[in-house]
Amino acid sequence: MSIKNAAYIVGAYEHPTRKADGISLAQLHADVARGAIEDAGIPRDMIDGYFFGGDAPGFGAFSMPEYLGLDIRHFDGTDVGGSSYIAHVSHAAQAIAMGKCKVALITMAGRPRAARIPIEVDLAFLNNPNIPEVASEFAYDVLPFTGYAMVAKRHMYEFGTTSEQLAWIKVAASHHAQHNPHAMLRKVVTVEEVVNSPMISDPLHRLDCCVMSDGGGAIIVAAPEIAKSLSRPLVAVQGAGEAVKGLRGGDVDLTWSAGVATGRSAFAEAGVTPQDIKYASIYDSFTITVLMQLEDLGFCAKGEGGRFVADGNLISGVGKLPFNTDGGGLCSNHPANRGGITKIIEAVRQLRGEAHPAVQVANCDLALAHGTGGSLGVRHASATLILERQ
Amino acid sequence: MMSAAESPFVSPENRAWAEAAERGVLLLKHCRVCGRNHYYPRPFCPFCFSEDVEDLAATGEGRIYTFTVNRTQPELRINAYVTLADGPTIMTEIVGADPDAVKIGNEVTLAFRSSAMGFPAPVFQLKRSVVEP
Repeated sequence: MSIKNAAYIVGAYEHPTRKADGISLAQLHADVARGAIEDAGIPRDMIDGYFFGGDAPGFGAFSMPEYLGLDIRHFDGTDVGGSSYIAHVSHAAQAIAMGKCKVALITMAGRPRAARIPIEVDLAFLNNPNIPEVASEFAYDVLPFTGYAMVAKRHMYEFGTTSEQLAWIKVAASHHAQHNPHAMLRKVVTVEEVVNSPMISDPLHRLDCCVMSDGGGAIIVAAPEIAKSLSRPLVAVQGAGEAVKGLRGGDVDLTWSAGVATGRSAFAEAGVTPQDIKYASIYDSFTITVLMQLEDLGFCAKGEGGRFVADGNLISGVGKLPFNTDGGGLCSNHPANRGGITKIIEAVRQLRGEAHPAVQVANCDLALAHGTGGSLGVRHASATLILERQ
Repeated sequence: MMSAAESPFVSPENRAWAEAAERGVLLLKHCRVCGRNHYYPRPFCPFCFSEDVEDLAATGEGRIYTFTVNRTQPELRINAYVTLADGPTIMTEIVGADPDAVKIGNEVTLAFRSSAMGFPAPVFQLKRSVVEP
């Protein structure tokens, strides 16, 4: 049994806002839902499944279907941070394959900038003493950027990765972001500008870090017969994987992520290899996030990521693996510190041929979206999705 | 100052570990079945799932696995993972060190500092380095 060809992404919408003043969180969810419904050209009342993460208010399923006027018969509130929505597409495809629903809506939205919620407050729920590891970690106050910095430090130590190589990831993202009118950082930057930006937490500089933004997006996944009745290009779900990794009782190895397992699962299900992928959306909370995931997914060997990303290899039209052609989290947006949904949306744009012409990958028929929720520096959940245009 | 006995972070499961910290001792757990040591301490072995586990006082010796100097706060903080001579690699902090002297592989030794949890947190100092005034 497989989800291959069991479901199609028929609707995708990204909210243009990066600072959501004057709009409630619930309305942001409604706005992105409306955007995806209109993109798909499907009546709202055909939606019979709702998928959401921890950003959806009111336990998600209690409040949002009621607020949106949805009459659903299936729901899934899997919350693994930023990678949740990539897992939701897989879960929606599974539910559709099992006949539990036919049209699944996924929404994601947040407004921490407008609400002035710092990340340590946003993540404070993780300090609940009922969480078994909290007592052994709370005192050290490891934040996302310090955790990822420790990953980068170890990667440099084991494999000789350099700050200049990491900087190429930001440079590539900025080359793409210049064409995105909604991107927060549209200026093309150089390797020198990245490595000379202020040191935040060694070895990560300010420009190794993603932006912090409001916003969100929505996806609609539908059964094959419904997808084929619509007038949008057909984007089929071909494979998916999800896995978690943490500190493993003290058997710590920060040089690989759960992406090793999710990539293996997704590629096997889709029956393709990394070499077949024309475009990749790779979670980019930090430059090191991208480098680690590219290795773990098999785009290059472990330890070779630095050489793989250098010299523009991730720039559309220049390198071998165009990535995050919307500018990604590093330059465009990272709504509510959860970047998974925008990864799916840009992959859908590429497969439909609807990316900006300056970054559109020619004949883009196979794409990957990969996310990391939580922290590669402590514990995380990875999710991989492989999509095909038919 | 709150003690381990009053801390909301202390549960029946980790009480011995927290109270040992007040005595300057870092407790790990040793599995009598598979022989492995684990951290943070659980009432069972995460490797083989045996419940036949016992407290083990760490030797206090270790090496830096990785670290970072957080430069966003008025006071520098050196977050780290240290691989203990007893096996487990644990999340911790390096204290009393010149950030430029800290390297992966450095030998370190156990210390404790106060924490907002109400009982001391295990941290580490560089073993053979004297911080220049």
